Amino acid sequence: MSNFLSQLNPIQRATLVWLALLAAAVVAVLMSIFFESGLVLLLLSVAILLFKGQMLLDHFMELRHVAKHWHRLMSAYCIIIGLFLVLAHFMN
Amino acid sequence: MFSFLVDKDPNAKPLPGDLAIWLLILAELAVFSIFFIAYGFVRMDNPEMFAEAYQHLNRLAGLINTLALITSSYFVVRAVLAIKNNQSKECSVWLNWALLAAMVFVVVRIWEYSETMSLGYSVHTNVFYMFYFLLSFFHFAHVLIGMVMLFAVSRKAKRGSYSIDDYSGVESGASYWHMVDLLWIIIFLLVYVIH
Repeated sequence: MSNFLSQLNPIQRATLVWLALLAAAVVAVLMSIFFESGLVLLLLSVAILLFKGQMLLDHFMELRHVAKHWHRLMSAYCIIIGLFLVLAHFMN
Repeated sequence: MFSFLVDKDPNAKPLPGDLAIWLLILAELAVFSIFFIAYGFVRMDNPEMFAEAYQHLNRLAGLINTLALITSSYFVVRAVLAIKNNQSKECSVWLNWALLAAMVFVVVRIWEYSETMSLGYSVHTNVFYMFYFLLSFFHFAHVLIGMVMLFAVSRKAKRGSYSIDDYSGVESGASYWHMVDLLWIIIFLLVYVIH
Protein backbone atom coordinates (compact mmCIF):
# COMPACT_ATOMS: atom_id res chain seq x y z
CA MET A 1 0.00 0.00 0.00
CA SER A 2 2.89 2.34 0.80
CA ASN A 3 4.28 1.84 -2.72
CA PHE A 4 0.90 2.64 -4.25
CA LEU A 5 0.49 5.75 -2.08
CA SER A 6 3.98 6.99 -2.91
CA GLN A 7 3.05 7.05 -6.62
CA LEU A 8 0.25 9.57 -6.00
CA ASN A 9 0.71 13.32 -5.77
CA PRO A 10 0.65 14.73 -2.21
CA ILE A 11 -2.98 15.95 -2.39
CA GLN A 12 -4.26 12.67 -3.83
CA ARG A 13 -2.29 10.75 -1.20
CA ALA A 14 -3.59 12.85 1.69
CA THR A 15 -7.17 12.56 0.43
CA LEU A 16 -6.95 8.80 0.06
CA VAL A 17 -5.46 8.41 3.55
CA TRP A 18 -8.19 10.69 4.97
CA LEU A 19 -10.93 8.53 3.38
CA ALA A 20 -9.24 5.34 4.63
CA LEU A 21 -9.08 6.75 8.17
CA LEU A 22 -12.77 7.73 8.05
CA ALA A 23 -13.69 4.26 6.81
CA ALA A 24 -11.61 2.63 9.56
CA ALA A 25 -13.45 4.68 12.21
CA VAL A 26 -16.84 3.58 10.87
CA VAL A 27 -15.69 -0.06 10.68
CA ALA A 28 -14.51 0.15 14.31
CA VAL A 29 -17.94 1.31 15.51
CA LEU A 30 -19.74 -1.35 13.45
CA MET A 31 -17.41 -3.96 14.95
CA SER A 32 -18.27 -2.80 18.46
CA ILE A 33 -21.98 -3.18 17.66
CA PHE A 34 -21.92 -6.54 15.89
CA PHE A 35 -19.13 -8.35 17.72
CA GLU A 36 -19.53 -9.80 21.17
CA SER A 37 -16.86 -8.61 23.55
CA GLY A 38 -13.79 -10.80 23.46
CA LEU A 39 -10.51 -11.58 21.83
CA VAL A 40 -11.67 -11.20 18.21
CA LEU A 41 -12.97 -7.69 18.81
CA LEU A 42 -9.80 -6.82 20.71
CA LEU A 43 -7.47 -8.10 17.99
CA LEU A 44 -9.44 -6.35 15.24
CA SER A 45 -9.42 -3.13 17.29
CA VAL A 46 -5.65 -3.36 17.78
CA ALA A 47 -5.23 -3.98 14.03
CA ILE A 48 -7.29 -0.84 13.33
CA LEU A 49 -5.21 1.09 15.87
CA LEU A 50 -1.96 0.03 14.18
CA PHE A 51 -3.32 0.81 10.69
CA LYS A 52 -4.68 4.23 11.62
CA GLY A 53 -1.63 5.11 13.68
CA GLN A 54 0.76 4.19 10.88
CA MET A 55 -1.26 6.07 8.25
CA LEU A 56 -1.33 9.16 10.47
CA LEU A 57 2.38 9.00 11.29
CA ASP A 58 3.56 8.27 7.75
CA HIS A 59 1.27 10.46 5.67
CA PHE A 60 -0.20 13.17 7.90
CA MET A 61 2.78 13.74 10.19
CA GLU A 62 5.15 13.12 7.24
CA LEU A 63 7.47 10.89 9.27
CA ARG A 64 8.12 8.28 6.59
CA HIS A 65 11.16 10.11 5.20
CA VAL A 66 12.66 11.44 8.45
CA ALA A 67 15.49 9.74 10.35
CA LYS A 68 14.63 6.12 11.14
CA HIS A 69 14.95 6.47 14.91
CA TRP A 70 12.18 9.08 14.98
CA HIS A 71 9.95 6.99 12.76
CA ARG A 72 10.54 3.88 14.87
CA LEU A 73 10.02 5.75 18.13
CA MET A 74 6.62 7.06 17.06
CA SER A 75 5.54 3.76 15.47
CA ALA A 76 6.58 1.90 18.62
CA TYR A 77 4.12 3.99 20.64
CA CYS A 78 1.07 2.52 18.87
CA ILE A 79 2.58 -0.97 18.87
CA ILE A 80 3.31 -0.87 22.61
CA ILE A 81 -0.19 0.40 23.44
CA GLY A 82 -1.68 -2.33 21.21
CA LEU A 83 0.48 -5.05 22.78
CA PHE A 84 -0.44 -3.84 26.23
CA LEU A 85 -4.16 -4.15 25.43
CA VAL A 86 -3.69 -7.73 24.25
CA LEU A 87 -1.52 -8.55 27.26
CA ALA A 88 -4.11 -7.04 29.64
CA HIS A 89 -6.77 -9.26 28.05
CA PHE A 90 -4.78 -12.43 28.73
CA MET A 91 -3.86 -11.34 32.24
CA ASN A 92 -7.55 -10.94 33.05
CA MET B 1 22.23 16.15 25.92
CA PHE B 2 19.68 15.64 23.14
CA SER B 3 22.27 14.92 20.43
CA PHE B 4 20.77 11.44 19.89
CA LEU B 5 17.61 13.12 18.61
CA VAL B 6 19.40 14.98 15.82
CA ASP B 7 19.31 13.38 12.36
CA LYS B 8 22.54 11.66 11.36
CA ASP B 9 21.29 9.99 8.18
CA PRO B 10 22.30 12.27 5.28
CA ASN B 11 19.35 11.07 3.14
CA ALA B 12 16.74 11.60 5.84
CA LYS B 13 14.49 14.63 5.68
CA PRO B 14 14.46 16.89 8.73
CA LEU B 15 11.61 16.54 11.23
CA PRO B 16 8.61 18.68 10.26
CA GLY B 17 8.55 21.70 12.57
CA ASP B 18 10.85 22.58 15.44
CA LEU B 19 12.69 20.01 17.54
CA ALA B 20 11.09 21.63 20.63
CA ILE B 21 7.57 20.69 19.48
CA TRP B 22 8.70 17.09 19.05
CA LEU B 23 10.09 17.00 22.57
CA LEU B 24 6.73 18.33 23.75
CA ILE B 25 4.92 15.67 21.69
CA LEU B 26 7.06 12.90 23.22
CA ALA B 27 6.35 14.25 26.70
CA GLU B 28 2.59 14.41 26.02
CA LEU B 29 2.55 10.88 24.60
CA ALA B 30 4.41 9.62 27.68
CA VAL B 31 1.88 11.23 30.02
CA PHE B 32 -1.08 9.81 28.08
CA SER B 33 0.51 6.35 28.02
CA ILE B 34 0.38 6.34 31.83
CA PHE B 35 -3.37 7.01 31.62
CA PHE B 36 -3.83 4.26 29.01
CA ILE B 37 -1.92 1.69 31.05
CA ALA B 38 -3.74 2.66 34.25
CA TYR B 39 -7.09 2.39 32.40
CA GLY B 40 -6.11 -1.07 31.11
CA PHE B 41 -5.13 -2.36 34.56
CA VAL B 42 -8.24 -0.95 36.26
CA ARG B 43 -10.48 -2.46 33.58
CA MET B 44 -8.72 -5.78 34.06
CA ASP B 45 -9.71 -5.71 37.74
CA ASN B 46 -13.30 -4.52 37.12
CA PRO B 47 -14.56 -6.21 33.93
CA GLU B 48 -18.25 -6.26 34.97
CA MET B 49 -18.28 -2.60 35.95
CA PHE B 50 -16.66 -1.55 32.66
CA ALA B 51 -18.99 -3.78 30.62
CA GLU B 52 -22.04 -2.28 32.34
CA ALA B 53 -20.83 1.30 31.98
CA TYR B 54 -19.99 0.70 28.31
CA GLN B 55 -23.70 0.17 27.59
CA HIS B 56 -24.40 3.80 28.56
CA LEU B 57 -21.70 5.36 26.38
CA ASN B 58 -22.79 7.44 23.42
CA ARG B 59 -20.96 5.69 20.57
CA LEU B 60 -22.48 8.02 17.99
CA ALA B 61 -20.84 10.98 19.73
CA GLY B 62 -17.55 9.08 19.78
CA LEU B 63 -17.82 8.34 16.08
CA ILE B 64 -18.74 11.93 15.14
CA ASN B 65 -15.79 13.19 17.19
CA THR B 66 -13.44 10.76 15.47
CA LEU B 67 -14.64 11.78 12.01
CA ALA B 68 -14.36 15.48 12.97
CA LEU B 69 -10.78 15.17 14.26
CA ILE B 70 -9.60 13.07 11.29
CA THR B 71 -11.17 15.60 8.91
CA SER B 72 -9.57 18.44 10.82
CA SER B 73 -6.18 16.71 10.53
CA TYR B 74 -6.74 16.33 6.77
CA PHE B 75 -7.42 20.06 6.45
CA VAL B 76 -4.19 20.75 8.37
CA VAL B 77 -2.30 18.53 5.90
CA ARG B 78 -3.79 20.60 3.07
CA ALA B 79 -2.66 23.78 4.84
CA VAL B 80 0.93 22.46 5.01
CA LEU B 81 0.80 21.47 1.34
CA ALA B 82 -0.49 24.96 0.48
CA ILE B 83 2.34 26.74 2.28
CA LYS B 84 4.87 24.41 0.61
CA ASN B 85 3.50 25.84 -2.66
CA ASN B 86 3.95 29.36 -1.26
CA GLN B 87 0.16 29.86 -1.02
CA SER B 88 -0.04 31.66 2.31
CA LYS B 89 -3.67 32.77 2.02
CA GLU B 90 -4.80 29.30 0.99
CA CYS B 91 -2.89 27.88 3.96
CA SER B 92 -4.86 30.20 6.25
CA VAL B 93 -8.16 29.13 4.66
CA TRP B 94 -7.38 25.41 5.16
CA LEU B 95 -6.45 26.09 8.79
CA ASN B 96 -9.78 27.86 9.29
CA TRP B 97 -11.55 24.78 7.91
CA ALA B 98 -9.54 22.69 10.35
CA LEU B 99 -10.70 24.94 13.20
CA LEU B 100 -14.30 24.56 12.06
CA ALA B 101 -14.00 20.76 12.15
CA ALA B 102 -12.38 21.05 15.58
CA MET B 103 -15.37 23.14 16.72
CA VAL B 104 -17.61 20.20 15.79
CA PHE B 105 -15.52 18.09 18.17
CA VAL B 106 -15.88 20.70 20.93
CA VAL B 107 -19.67 20.99 20.52
CA VAL B 108 -20.21 17.21 20.42
CA ARG B 109 -17.93 16.69 23.45
CA ILE B 110 -19.88 19.27 25.48
CA TRP B 111 -23.15 17.66 24.35
CA GLU B 112 -21.84 14.22 25.38
CA TYR B 113 -20.69 15.50 28.79
CA SER B 114 -24.03 17.19 29.45
CA GLU B 115 -25.93 14.06 28.38
CA THR B 116 -23.77 11.80 30.56
CA MET B 117 -24.11 14.09 33.57
CA SER B 118 -27.86 14.49 33.06
CA LEU B 119 -28.12 10.69 33.43
CA GLY B 120 -26.54 11.09 36.86
CA TYR B 121 -23.03 9.92 36.06
CA SER B 122 -20.07 11.90 37.30
CA VAL B 123 -16.41 11.48 38.10
CA HIS B 124 -17.48 10.15 41.52
CA THR B 125 -19.88 7.46 40.20
CA ASN B 126 -17.28 4.70 39.89
CA VAL B 127 -13.76 4.09 38.67
CA PHE B 128 -14.89 3.73 35.03
CA TYR B 129 -16.46 7.18 34.98
CA MET B 130 -13.46 8.60 36.81
CA PHE B 131 -11.24 7.40 33.94
CA TYR B 132 -13.82 8.33 31.29
CA PHE B 133 -13.98 11.94 32.48
CA LEU B 134 -10.28 12.18 33.29
CA LEU B 135 -9.03 10.78 29.96
CA SER B 136 -11.57 12.57 27.78
CA PHE B 137 -11.25 15.91 29.59
CA PHE B 138 -7.44 15.79 29.56
CA HIS B 139 -7.61 15.15 25.82
CA PHE B 140 -10.27 17.84 25.41
CA ALA B 141 -7.90 20.35 27.03
CA HIS B 142 -5.27 19.39 24.44
CA VAL B 143 -7.80 19.94 21.66
CA LEU B 144 -8.41 23.45 22.98
CA ILE B 145 -4.65 24.16 23.20
CA GLY B 146 -4.23 22.82 19.66
CA MET B 147 -7.04 25.07 18.43
CA VAL B 148 -5.33 28.12 19.93
CA MET B 149 -2.12 27.08 18.14
CA LEU B 150 -3.89 26.59 14.81
CA PHE B 151 -5.69 29.93 15.20
CA ALA B 152 -2.39 31.73 15.83
CA VAL B 153 -0.73 30.01 12.85
CA SER B 154 -3.73 30.83 10.65
CA ARG B 155 -3.55 34.52 11.60
CA LYS B 156 0.19 34.61 10.83
CA ALA B 157 -0.35 32.82 7.52
CA LYS B 158 -3.08 35.30 6.59
CA ARG B 159 -0.65 38.16 7.28
CA GLY B 160 1.87 36.47 4.97
CA SER B 161 4.37 35.71 7.73
CA TYR B 162 5.09 32.24 6.31
CA SER B 163 6.58 31.45 2.93
CA ILE B 164 8.03 28.54 0.98
CA ASP B 165 11.38 29.28 2.68
CA ASP B 166 10.02 29.57 6.22
CA TYR B 167 7.05 27.45 7.24
CA SER B 168 8.42 25.71 10.30
CA GLY B 169 5.69 27.32 12.44
CA VAL B 170 2.96 25.78 10.27
CA GLU B 171 4.59 22.35 10.51
CA SER B 172 4.99 22.65 14.28
CA GLY B 173 1.31 23.48 14.75
CA ALA B 174 0.36 20.69 12.34
CA SER B 175 2.51 18.11 14.18
CA TYR B 176 0.91 19.00 17.51
CA TRP B 177 -2.56 18.74 15.98
CA HIS B 178 -1.81 15.32 14.48
CA MET B 179 -0.62 14.17 17.92
CA VAL B 180 -4.01 15.24 19.35
CA ASP B 181 -5.66 13.18 16.59
CA LEU B 182 -3.42 10.16 17.26
CA LEU B 183 -4.31 10.25 20.97
CA TRP B 184 -8.02 10.42 20.17
CA ILE B 185 -7.73 7.38 17.88
CA ILE B 186 -6.36 5.42 20.85
CA ILE B 187 -8.93 6.80 23.33
CA PHE B 188 -11.77 6.08 20.92
CA LEU B 189 -10.78 2.43 20.51
CA LEU B 190 -9.96 2.01 24.19
CA VAL B 191 -13.18 3.52 25.58
CA TYR B 192 -15.83 3.30 22.84
CA VAL B 193 -14.94 0.17 20.83
CA ILE B 194 -13.21 -2.45 22.98
CA HIS B 195 -15.65 -3.90 25.49
